Amino acid sequence: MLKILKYSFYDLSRSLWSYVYFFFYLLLGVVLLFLNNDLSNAVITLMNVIIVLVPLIGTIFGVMYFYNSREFTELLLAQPVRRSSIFLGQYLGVAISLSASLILGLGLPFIIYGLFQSGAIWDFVSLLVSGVFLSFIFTALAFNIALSYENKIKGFGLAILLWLFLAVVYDGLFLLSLVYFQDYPLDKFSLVASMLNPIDLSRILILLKLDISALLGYTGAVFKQFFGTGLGAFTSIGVLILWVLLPVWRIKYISAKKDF
Amino acid sequence: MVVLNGLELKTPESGIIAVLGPNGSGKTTLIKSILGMVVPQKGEIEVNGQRVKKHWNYRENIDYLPQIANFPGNLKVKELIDMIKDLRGKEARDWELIELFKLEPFLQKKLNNLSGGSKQKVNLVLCFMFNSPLIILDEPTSGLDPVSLIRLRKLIQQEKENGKTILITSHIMNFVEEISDRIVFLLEGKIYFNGTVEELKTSTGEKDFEHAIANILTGNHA
Amino acid sequence: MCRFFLFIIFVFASVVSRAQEIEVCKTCEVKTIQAAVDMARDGDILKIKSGIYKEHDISIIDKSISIIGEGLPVIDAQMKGTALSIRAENFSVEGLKIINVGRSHTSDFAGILVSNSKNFELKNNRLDKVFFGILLERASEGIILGNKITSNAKSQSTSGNGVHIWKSEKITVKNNQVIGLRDGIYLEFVNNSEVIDNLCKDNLRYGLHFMFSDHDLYKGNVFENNGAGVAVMYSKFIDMHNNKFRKNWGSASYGLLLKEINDSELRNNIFEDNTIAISADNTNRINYIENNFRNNGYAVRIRGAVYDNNFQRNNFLYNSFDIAYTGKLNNNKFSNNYWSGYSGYDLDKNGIGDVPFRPVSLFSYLVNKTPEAIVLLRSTFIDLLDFSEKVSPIFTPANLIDDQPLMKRIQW
Repeated sequence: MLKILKYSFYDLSRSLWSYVYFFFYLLLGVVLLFLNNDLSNAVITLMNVIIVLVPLIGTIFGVMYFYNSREFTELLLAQPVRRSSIFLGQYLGVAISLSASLILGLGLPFIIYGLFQSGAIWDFVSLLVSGVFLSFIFTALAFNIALSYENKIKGFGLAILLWLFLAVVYDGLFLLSLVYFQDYPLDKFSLVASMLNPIDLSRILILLKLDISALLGYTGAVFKQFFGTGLGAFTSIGVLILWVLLPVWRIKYISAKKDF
Repeated sequence: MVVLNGLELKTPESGIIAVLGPNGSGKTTLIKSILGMVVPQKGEIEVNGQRVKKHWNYRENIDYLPQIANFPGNLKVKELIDMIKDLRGKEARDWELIELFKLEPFLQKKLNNLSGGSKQKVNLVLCFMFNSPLIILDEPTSGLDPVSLIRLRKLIQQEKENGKTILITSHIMNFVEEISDRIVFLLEGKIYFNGTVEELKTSTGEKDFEHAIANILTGNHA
Repeated sequence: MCRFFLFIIFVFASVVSRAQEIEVCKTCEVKTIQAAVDMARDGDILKIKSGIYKEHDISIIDKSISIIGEGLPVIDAQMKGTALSIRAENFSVEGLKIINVGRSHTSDFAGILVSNSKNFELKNNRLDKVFFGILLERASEGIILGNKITSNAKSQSTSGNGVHIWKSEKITVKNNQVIGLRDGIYLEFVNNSEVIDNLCKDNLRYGLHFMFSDHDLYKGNVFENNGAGVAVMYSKFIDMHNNKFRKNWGSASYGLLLKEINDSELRNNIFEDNTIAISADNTNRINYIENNFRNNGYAVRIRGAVYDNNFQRNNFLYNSFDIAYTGKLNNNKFSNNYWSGYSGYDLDKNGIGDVPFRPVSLFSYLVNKTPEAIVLLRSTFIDLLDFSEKVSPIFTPANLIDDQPLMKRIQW
């Protein structure tokens, strides 16, 4: 698998899009820090970027890479290589290169800015951790879609719909149900509903750093326990890991049965 | 979709076996099943006494030439060859073959920029550079110029003399007639004929190979 | 004037010349503080040498004496009541350590109880494990300076206040540290007093609590991690300058709670990381000028019956919600503030944004109705919702705007 990973990574490192992605983050980091000159502002803007853009890029890039590397995949399938190694290797190649673009693109300007001397370092770390998780999750979801649909147009469409649903629509429905059922105790429901959407989940992980004062304003005991202790961060990371593992497991499962 | 159904085929240790049949008869599916790219719903496939299903290391003993030479376009020819060598981790005679097919000028070119014929040559190098006992060739002649065709024919003969089993599909009948020891004729996913070229001719009563094949086909449709 | 001054010096000198020093220690002639107090006369100085004195209810009545601890002598009240109880004029208590003050549901036991007194100084004492720390009743012209009061308050009913002042005036509370009590500093019916440069930390209820107290000033204090930072209730003419309100977290937690207060001013205060930085309820004619609100859950929460409050030149920086508002606008004004959430432009380059800013978001309304919705904070959907509300307000008061939002942070 490491060899496949190496070559996927190698292949991606020559793709123009990896660089576009990397330079986008680099530019964003530089503009936010050096033109705006305000670390807190930069962190909040980055959060919006990360919870919207990272999943979008992850899905599109994942689907695109999968369809584009069909030839490569077929070549590999005839080689004495385990099937799961091929797909997991390619998946890791995409996910790691996206994460690397994110970490380097944002990390470099922040380090130059002098992040290590600032109190915002943990806010920034939680941003990057969420970003990396989202890259891994949405690339895996994209591979699932691409493995299930031979038709590129269908695959792309579905991937975009999935992103739209998780990034925007889900929260709309979530809010609607909260308002509709406001006479009932909703704290458990709202926590569970956040867990079911990886975007919400990583947003909460960032909120725990950024808006803890507001989160602690709510009276419910469940909330208090969740946000007031380490439980929130702990659970969020745990569920995020699940969100990576389940789609990856499904990649393995489908790819083992699929004909090429 | 059922492509191959009730197919039973055993091949002897060595020699050249041609798998023939009209388009959609299941030739490529048969090959892909052997390679494990297509997972059979029922039945067993064994290569050198090793089961194919859920295994992968038996492929170390197979060299495969895919029908359509699809390669990752971002890579250079040399990189592709190195990569496959790296993946297999076996000794390879790539330089010998590169010389044979006169590929040196293309080594630093990206695969995207290669013509169909050159791609097929790269394909051939990748296939023949390992010394595996089973070689599977899916339409090896497509896109090749006459000179390379002659070289390929020689190469196949050589390999046969080295005691290898070679599985070929091809549309070019005189190529098949000339090199194959045994013909397997597939029709609608079933074996229609399995025997030597001579046996085929006698059984159909045709002198000419191409006519014999045509005879099977028309006989079936009649 | 000059003659009066000379007179004072003369009186002071004559007092000193008659003053007697009484030493108290385990091996001295005088072994207990009470004994020393009993023999002391006006103007005497009691020097308490270091050691542990297991005494309680030491009472000083109508004696103008100075008690000075040398080497931090410890008065251990053994949980039996008040340690030091004073009713006098012109006295001082300095350098003592008082521990283990008794707890009671019926009496307000204190480390130092001062009642019906005038012109005194309580300086550099350390109080630990106390019920009430320093308790003043009907006192005036006193100074409480540089004391450190600590305790381990667990519940409001079994704990007292660090500095508790009742019905007093012209008191200065300065440079004290009050940690782990119920209220850090409590003032009830206290007028013309000052609370300056104190640190109130980890107190159960409020860091500083004003009730029915007028014409007071508090400045330069730090209030951190209290149940709520400061509560100012039923008071008027309070000046609040240069204080820091930090990390007051919790569902009923405020940096500053204003309830029924009038004609006061908040200037140059810093509110950081509070669940609610300021909660205002029934407040009239309050000026909020040049304060910093940073990283709070809510910067300002305005509840009912708030009139003529004026928010000017404040910095609202990265709060989850800038303003939450209940009721009508009521002539309250927001102008020339800096809002980090402002995304308008300044084409004429005069430093003032050309589009007004709406500090109240739709989401804050939703959270008010459905508190659980807070988990959707900063989600894309909510951002879209808030954006559309800002473009055409339906739920939020349309006239609640800062029509001159500043483009740059105010430096003060």
